[in-house]
Amino acid sequence: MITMEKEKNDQKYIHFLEAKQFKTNIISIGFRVPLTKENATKTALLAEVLKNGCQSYPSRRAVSQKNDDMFGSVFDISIIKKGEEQVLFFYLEFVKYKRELMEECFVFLQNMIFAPIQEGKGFPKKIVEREKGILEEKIKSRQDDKKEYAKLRCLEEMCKEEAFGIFADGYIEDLKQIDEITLFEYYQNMIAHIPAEIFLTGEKAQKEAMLDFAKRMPFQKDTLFKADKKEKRSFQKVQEIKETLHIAQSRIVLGFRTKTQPESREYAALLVLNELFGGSPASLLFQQVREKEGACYDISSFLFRLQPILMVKAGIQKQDYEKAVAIIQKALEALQQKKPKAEPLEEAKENMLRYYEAMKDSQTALMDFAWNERVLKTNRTISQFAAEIKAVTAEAVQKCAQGIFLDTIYFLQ
Amino acid sequence: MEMRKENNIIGDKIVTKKLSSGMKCYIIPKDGYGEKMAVLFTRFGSNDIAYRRPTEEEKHCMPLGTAHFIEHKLFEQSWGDAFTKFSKQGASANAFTDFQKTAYYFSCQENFYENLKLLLSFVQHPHFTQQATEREKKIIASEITMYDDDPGWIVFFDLLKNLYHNHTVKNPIAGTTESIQQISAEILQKSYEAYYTPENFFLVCAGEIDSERVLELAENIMKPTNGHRAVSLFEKEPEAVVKAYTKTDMSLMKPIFQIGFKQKPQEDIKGIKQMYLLRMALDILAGESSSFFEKAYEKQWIQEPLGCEFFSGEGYAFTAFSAAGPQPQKTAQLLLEEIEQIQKQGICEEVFERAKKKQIGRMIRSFNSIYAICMGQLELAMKNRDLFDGFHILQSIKKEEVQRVFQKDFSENAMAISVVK
Repeated sequence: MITMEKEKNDQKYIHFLEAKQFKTNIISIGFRVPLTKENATKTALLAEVLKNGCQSYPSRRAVSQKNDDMFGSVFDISIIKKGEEQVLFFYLEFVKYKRELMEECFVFLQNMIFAPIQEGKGFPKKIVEREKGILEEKIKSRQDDKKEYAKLRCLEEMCKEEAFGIFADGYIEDLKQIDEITLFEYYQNMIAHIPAEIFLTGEKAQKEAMLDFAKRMPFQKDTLFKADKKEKRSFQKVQEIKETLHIAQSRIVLGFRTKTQPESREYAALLVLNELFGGSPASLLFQQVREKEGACYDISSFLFRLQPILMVKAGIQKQDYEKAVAIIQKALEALQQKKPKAEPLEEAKENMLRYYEAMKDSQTALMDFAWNERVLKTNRTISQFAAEIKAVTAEAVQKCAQGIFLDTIYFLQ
Repeated sequence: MEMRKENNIIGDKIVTKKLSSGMKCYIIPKDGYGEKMAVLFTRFGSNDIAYRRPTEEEKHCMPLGTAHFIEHKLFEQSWGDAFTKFSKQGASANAFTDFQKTAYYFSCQENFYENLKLLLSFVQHPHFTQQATEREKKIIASEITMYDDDPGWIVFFDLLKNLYHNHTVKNPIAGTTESIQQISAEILQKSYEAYYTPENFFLVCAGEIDSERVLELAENIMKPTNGHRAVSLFEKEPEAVVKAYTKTDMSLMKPIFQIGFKQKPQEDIKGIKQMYLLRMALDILAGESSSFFEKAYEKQWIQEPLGCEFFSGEGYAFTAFSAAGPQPQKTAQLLLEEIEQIQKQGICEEVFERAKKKQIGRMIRSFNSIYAICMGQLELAMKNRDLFDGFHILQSIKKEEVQRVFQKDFSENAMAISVVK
């Protein structure tokens, strides 16, 4: 039995996920920073700098040793791009092996968030400079993973004027202006004024104690942190972007816009459509492009849960570019012109239902689902959402398909 | 004989049984989970390219990539595609080939027993045709080309080529675009018959399932064969490495590299203690809590802890450290210095206890995931052990045993480096 409860305490929301079957507890805390070009690099750099410790564990090594001592608890600070927000995410997972461990973990996390290593009025200069160098390299090496890079570049070109197009890992040109003092001030401003979401997982008997610890964490009480919002690019015509890199197999990514909004009830139909289009080995794209035409090794379509965008990515031979674009567009047209047949439709729905059912077996997936629901302000449970998928009709899928149009083609050769 | 074990710390149980056909089953029932998973594997991996039958003199050879080719083609049955049928029965199926085994698996929420029947039956009914074999060559060739673009893959196999003169572990798992051209339906069939026998098969299941029903079903479906199990042949491998250093250019912004130590193959091939000892030793040496990592990180040679993995099988054993960073050779040098330090001074009690606590906690945590349970059990099943055996062995490890690993398993002249820039 899994239940999710929400409690508002000042400006922090505490979500408790009750489940008995897991061997671990999780405490996770996310600060929801609006995604802007101005802040992206600072927030990204923070995730790295903060890993270097707190006043009680003043180095990366000391932090790691502490976690080993806590029976190998898993600790991470990361950046998660959630729609038009850049979440600074603290994660701690520990085994239900010794009772005292829970309090130890809360105290540790509180130290890491609220008492970071400090030197004068800032973070230690040496650490900030080193982490700037590391982040710069990380940004540069984005293109080493060709598949991921092609996808990111397509998204960047497609959403040039939107917050969603901003890289949550930051930008090299913005790194220079950041120093240990400005970064520290930015962080203080953030923990004081940005609403935090706390997700806890545990058993019924642990609930009271966990909520109690969470409530006592010294978050501030206002939401004064402001950032400018960007407007969406108005669609004019399909953009085609071609780039050349050292690569044996060319990568193609097609970015489509959809009229189906992520928070709408129709989104379930879009999920099913994506499954039919290129979401599984039984899908149109896989069967047409890979199996029948043998034009590529991998091809798939995917959605962004919080943005009305659908993408198709494939690995192809360079000379098959025109052919691949044509087949992909033809596959979409087929779905726009005809309602899906009953059998593939049911299969696609079953697949999606299985996917969401499977989330119940993973604490992180459950948290991620709840997080998305919170951002979308729909606040459904997995079972409620599954019911929406079950109710999807062939007509709804076709209607969804008709609301999809090509925006950007990105080709890496 | 059927065996049931419970573990109070982990809070689960494991049922094991060897069936009359010779197949060994491991079942881990889990309450509260929707996902159910079954993996069936045979001891036939990319390393196995030459064999002899116990009763014959003749040596049989196969082209590189045969095991992987069979993995691709076995789903194709005389009645249709098993892969599609799994999907129609609500399961997602997949398969993989590594050095020592080929594994087929599915996971589902509903129809577990139907899917299990399908799994057990399709692996016993190959349907290789020349036409389908020819068609598959194109798909596999394209898969091989895709690996050629994966720097992580290249750097690993470059390392293996540096470490091994003769042992087949140095070969790419899927074979090469040339070697797969030599494969025919007849070769597939012959190799299949040699290695896909019940005494080579292992079944691992986990999820909210009834172990009795699984065993009964498997007993009925799995047919014994004549028992002429193939014995793989391996060439003799010298102790020395081939080459201490190689570099491949792939225009990476951030070079990646692997540092490997060629080690003596285990005499007791079934022993699993070595695996846990190495795991602890590697964490002590190069994990995030180590002084090695702190030094290398401060110098900005590496940004993440090294990936460490110990590989061992018939005729080979090696440890591979992987990382991304600008100074592969200096990083390797620092690693050697740290090893020497540990050899001289030993491991202190605090460090040992910490590493052990971490391993124990991580092992308990792995029982969170049906997939992790199945894959963990899979590795141990090869050696006729279960996950609880692993847990007990881990708990029993002594500091001196870990120390001994450092004395014998990491010498400078058994080291090789591969870099992809």
